[in-house]
Amino acid sequence: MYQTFVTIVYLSTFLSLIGYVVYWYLRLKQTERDQ
Amino acid sequence: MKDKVTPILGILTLLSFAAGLFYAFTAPPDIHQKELVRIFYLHMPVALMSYVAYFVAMGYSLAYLITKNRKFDRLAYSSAEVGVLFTALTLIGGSLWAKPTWGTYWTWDPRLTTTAIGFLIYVGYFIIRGLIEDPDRRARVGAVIGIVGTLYVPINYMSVYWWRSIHQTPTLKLLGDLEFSADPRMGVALMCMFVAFVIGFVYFVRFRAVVADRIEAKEDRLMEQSFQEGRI
Repeated sequence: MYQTFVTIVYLSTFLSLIGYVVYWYLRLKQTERDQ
Repeated sequence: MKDKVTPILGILTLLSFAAGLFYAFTAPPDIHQKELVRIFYLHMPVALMSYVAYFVAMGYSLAYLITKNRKFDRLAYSSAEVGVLFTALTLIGGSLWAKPTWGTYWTWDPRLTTTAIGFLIYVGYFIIRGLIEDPDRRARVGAVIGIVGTLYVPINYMSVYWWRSIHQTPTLKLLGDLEFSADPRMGVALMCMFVAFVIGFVYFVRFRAVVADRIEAKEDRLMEQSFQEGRI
């Protein structure tokens, strides 16, 4: 019954972690481009 | 110099999380909580790693105050930033878990309240850093807050013993004899996710510190340029 709910909690957690890395990766690329 | 360690750590993080997810979703359901217990394999490691992140930030802050090497400041705030992310995930994941198990998303329980206070302390750490322009002063003030702020960790950990709490006492006891009070297959899932978060933490901090190094180098260059052109 709660399988979908648990999956959503996991998905949102991992998407947050991926989002954190992607955000700083893009900042890194932007810094390199501006040099 | 090309950084080869960070991409390898990134791949290791992905692999370890894949293994952690496999065990988390194949471990048996709990007799009372059924499927909901799987949130525990995420909630506990992320909460524990937020403690680690703040202790690491404290260590690097001390190292900065002793050596005045900006590299330690970058590592300190990278670790604190990952700590804030992990604390946010602890609060959100915990609240979502609390609704079907406790019947409410939030209660002013000592563990929850001290976690929220810890989160605000470190959000404040970044706000104060953002308000100081001089890099050395910013690093010095940040280091002091980073050291004092870590006091929240033992208070948060002990809160379930010191005050009446709806939150359970620790499943993995860190003080005294090591004790795990659950099915061994659940222990495997928990340990796999914990190891994945340890590797992930090292990767996040290292990656963030690399980015911080490049951004600071660029800011220093712009500052130098402005100084030479007489704009400062």
